[in-house]
Amino acid sequence: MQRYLVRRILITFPILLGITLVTYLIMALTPGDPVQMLIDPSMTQADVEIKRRALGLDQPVYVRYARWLGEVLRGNLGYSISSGAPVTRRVGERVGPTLTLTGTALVLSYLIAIPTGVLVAARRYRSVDYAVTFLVFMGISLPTFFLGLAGIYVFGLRLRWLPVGGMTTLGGDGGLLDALHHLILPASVLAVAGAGALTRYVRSSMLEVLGQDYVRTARAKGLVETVILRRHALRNALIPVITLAGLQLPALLAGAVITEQVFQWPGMGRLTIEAISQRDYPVLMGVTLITAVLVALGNLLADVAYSVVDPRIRYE
Amino acid sequence: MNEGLSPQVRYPRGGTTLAAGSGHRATSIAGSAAPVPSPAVSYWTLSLRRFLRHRVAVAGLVILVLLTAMAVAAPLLAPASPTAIDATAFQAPPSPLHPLGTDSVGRDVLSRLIFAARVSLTVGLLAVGMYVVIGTAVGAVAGYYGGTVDLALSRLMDVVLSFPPLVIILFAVSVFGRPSLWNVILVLGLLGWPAVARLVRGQILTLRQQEFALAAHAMGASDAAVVLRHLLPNAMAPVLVAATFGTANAILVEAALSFLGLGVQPPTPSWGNMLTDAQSLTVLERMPWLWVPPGFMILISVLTINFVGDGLRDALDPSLKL
Amino acid sequence: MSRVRARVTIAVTALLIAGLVLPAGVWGGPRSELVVVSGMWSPPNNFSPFNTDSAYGYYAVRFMFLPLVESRLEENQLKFYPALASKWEVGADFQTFTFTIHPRAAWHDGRPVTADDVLFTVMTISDPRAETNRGNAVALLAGLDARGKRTPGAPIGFRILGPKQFEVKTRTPVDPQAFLYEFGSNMYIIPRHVLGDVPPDQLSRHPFMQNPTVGNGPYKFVQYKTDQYVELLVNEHYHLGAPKLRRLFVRIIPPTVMMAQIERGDMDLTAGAGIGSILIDDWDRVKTIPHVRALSFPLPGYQFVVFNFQRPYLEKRVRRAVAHAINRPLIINQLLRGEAALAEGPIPPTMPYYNKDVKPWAYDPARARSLLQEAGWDAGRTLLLRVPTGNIIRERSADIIRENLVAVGIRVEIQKTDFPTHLAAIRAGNYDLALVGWSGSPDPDVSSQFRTGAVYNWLGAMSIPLMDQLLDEGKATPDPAKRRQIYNRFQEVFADELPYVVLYYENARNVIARRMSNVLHDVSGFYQFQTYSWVAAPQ
Repeated sequence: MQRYLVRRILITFPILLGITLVTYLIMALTPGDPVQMLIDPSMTQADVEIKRRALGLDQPVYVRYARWLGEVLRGNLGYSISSGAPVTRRVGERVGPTLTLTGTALVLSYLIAIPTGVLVAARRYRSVDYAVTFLVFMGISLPTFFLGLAGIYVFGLRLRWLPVGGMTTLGGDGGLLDALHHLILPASVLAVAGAGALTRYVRSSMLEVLGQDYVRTARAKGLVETVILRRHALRNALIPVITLAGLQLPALLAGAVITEQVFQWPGMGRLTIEAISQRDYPVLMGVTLITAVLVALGNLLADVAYSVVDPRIRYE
Repeated sequence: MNEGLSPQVRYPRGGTTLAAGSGHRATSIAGSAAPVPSPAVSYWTLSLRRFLRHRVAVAGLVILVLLTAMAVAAPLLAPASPTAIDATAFQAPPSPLHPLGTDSVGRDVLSRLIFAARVSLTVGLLAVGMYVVIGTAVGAVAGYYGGTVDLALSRLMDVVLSFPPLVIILFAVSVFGRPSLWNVILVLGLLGWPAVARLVRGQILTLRQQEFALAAHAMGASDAAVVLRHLLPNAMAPVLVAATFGTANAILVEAALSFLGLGVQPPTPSWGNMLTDAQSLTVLERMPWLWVPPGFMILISVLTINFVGDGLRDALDPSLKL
Repeated sequence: MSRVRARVTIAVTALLIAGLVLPAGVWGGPRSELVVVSGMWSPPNNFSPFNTDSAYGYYAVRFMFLPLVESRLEENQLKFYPALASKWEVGADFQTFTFTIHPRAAWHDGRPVTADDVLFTVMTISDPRAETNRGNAVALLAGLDARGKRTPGAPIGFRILGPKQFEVKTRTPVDPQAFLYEFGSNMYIIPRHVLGDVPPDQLSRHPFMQNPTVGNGPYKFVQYKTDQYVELLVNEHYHLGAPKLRRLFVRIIPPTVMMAQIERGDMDLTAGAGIGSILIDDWDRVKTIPHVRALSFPLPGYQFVVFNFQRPYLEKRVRRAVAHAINRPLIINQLLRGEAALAEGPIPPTMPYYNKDVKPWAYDPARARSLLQEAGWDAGRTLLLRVPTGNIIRERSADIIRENLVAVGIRVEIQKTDFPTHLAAIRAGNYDLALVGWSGSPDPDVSSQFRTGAVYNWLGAMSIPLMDQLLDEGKATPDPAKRRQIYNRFQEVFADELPYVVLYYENARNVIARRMSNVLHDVSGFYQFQTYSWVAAPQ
């Protein structure tokens, strides 16, 4: 296992290099650049050329990439083109809000999905199962922006229970309660969307496991159904759930673009979208680099978790 | 509990031996092209019979067929052209002339809804079909062979998962030049497979160590046979879930892609782009005809696909004996 | 395990109940001071007074930094009002302008604003090493090259007459209105004592641009909560009188949620003109909200179809046919619910130089068809119409335009892309027709768009000798009466040549809380004219 881990970690570095190189190239080849898109009547031709030079856009792509890589190796992710602020700061200030929102939503969605999934698996093809199925699919048949809007309409406008938009009350440091109050709506919308899929995964792998011999053996031994469900079945049904959790780790930091947009949440998803729409290459590269590290980490953790859940799984 | 084959049938309790394949689906799901031994006829007949008794699944299949027929026959069914503008009725509520009202530029919602089935169903089914096939194949090979093969394929998945998808899509727009439905399918298919691959790989990693797989191998079955006939069928449960959710997602994402210059372009309707009209409180509260119909169509399609998927899985599962 | 789960369940339930049942007031502290909240759609990326990246950035900047004068449109005339400058005089030569800075005008740290600060601002903007997007503000000054940049060591047309007085000279005689608009009202003065020692090429990354604590406007910078709001505090020593409001927030909020906030009374006014206004779908709804006023007024910005002049088949008759084919009245009356105006040219109907004798081409599909026939239009040809995302009315109008063109026999394929891709494709000449919008300006000099080879001429890449000649003459003529004749003629030529088919001049659709008064918009349509005089009743 130890050798495997070392190998996995070592192989990450050339992969990161490859990912950044390819992303850089693709970005450079994508139409539109940060200066080209400035059509401001207050700007002169000279202003445009000065910007192009100042941002190094007059250099060929490979020079730009080499410079970027050199800076990264020295721990500097460069400066945002649109704001002039250091990329580490632009990205760093998003980490907290993003983790708060996606983390809460993720925990909520697992809290909803695992019990619900087990329940509907045990009650397969009964009305509870159909009702949950229907709700789950209703949740995914409408776009997130619409669900967010509906949440705002119901809880923010009609009932006036919850504030709409933002992380805190304006200017105020309302403390933890204020922050929680603002968190409820976006985190719930995100959790509902996530829990739907998760419920179905838990349900289907529970069903799969419940058909297996050892579960039958357990039943034959006369064990109580809830004990079977909890002790024997659930643990073995977790493989796809772990895979999903591994896949979701990068998403945890990547943020939730639409939810952040609708609820005015200053997360990583919005930063990414802004960076793309402004062709802010350094910011985008910073985000890509972090995503790549997290993807590698998430899948590594999932692989380790597999062998914990199922000790028969071995990696050489 | 085991009486008959009502849809209530659940996990059989009878004791079974640990012989290869017992208690597990010994055959791949339809389309995996596993060589079917001579009693195949009876196996498929049995499966079909089992499927037909799964009433919800049958209902789902019927609706799905009807939806497809609607898409094919759209020009015959739609009361008006999906692009024609009624200059006197913008965002008009349902009326005899426009049974489901008109949209934000005065087009008949019902006609657009019917035509939209073409794009949405094609994208939903083909894109997901594509990445499920790729993902399953890659995941199965990685999980089964392990070692260096797994390491290489898994890192490939990491790479694909690490690229910022929006950048890839914008790049694709410039590469493809002209937008088309097939480009959307291609992009969704090529970006979507690693998640499925990881799911399948995770399943296969644990399944390949189980007795029935080891036994099959010991009895001289080839790698391909073990994977296709013994492992994959048992790994398909999460894949089916991923596929049904992927379908809904693809239908919605298609609309977002057309905003980036990929995919069907206006004025061609799709359920996803019809929903983008619903971006204001006024529409949400007072113009349900702009968002209920497309939302309902997506719900129906995904639900039916899900039920058909459930039915298929149960029907092909030999552990559910007649 | 069950106990853990029970505890989690209880905790979650308690949280939910607390969140749902407690009224909002319990969560935040009571507002004891006079606070006003303004809303805009996107975040400012920085607060550089000469280089912030967008209209959003300048909206925030303008509460903290002033230009020399502020401008406002009154009865179709551009009027200038004191801001940092209390007086200005135009020399008889149409070339010399003398400004006197208000005696009490001071920086937020107490230092006086001087002529030296203005000189520093001009030197920075004209420095060939400094990144800026205000080049046009100084481009007319003597001593600078034609592109508005200075050669190191060369003298420029700027003379300090005293600590609070200076004189500037232009390269050639200019229309005083044009000069006052560009130099006087579009250039925000920056503090030399804070930024004077920063190398010009380092200015754009200087921390001051993220944290502009030393301004000269009626409000002081407090903090920027990324992507959420900019917080501003009253400048009690403001030279034209301390503002009545204590605190001002510029909130960043998407249009749909902005509507919910307005209904809830969380927001007092929209920023205006393309950066924060009411969605057309919500326009009727907002009029029914009792505590706000819904206001619409004409704006100088316009949307248009641009023709690719590199396509020989898009000749004059075809362009005219397109103008006749597009049902612009339908777009204005249905899509925009009448909240728009039409003019056949780039000079806004509300601006002083508008030629009201030039009538827009009528919606006339029959005429369009016969023009196409005259031009020998190939019915098998498909035109590529490029549409950028981001403006929902413009996107919807594209569907109408396509339908209209198809109706007269022009096949059209739409390609919708994000804005950077859209512009890149146009620059590459990869389009037949494209939808774009300009924000419009009170000065009629539009040569940067239509003059052959000018900075934004790639949009269409037209080269129309008669237009070039008129644009050059207009630019070189300082006398307003003669200028008017030239631009009247220009608008006639424009309607004849049709390098763009203008679609509509969209009205501003804004709200202001009824508790507020003295809120006036400037010439560009932003509620940013003399913001120190805003009055609001307590909530």
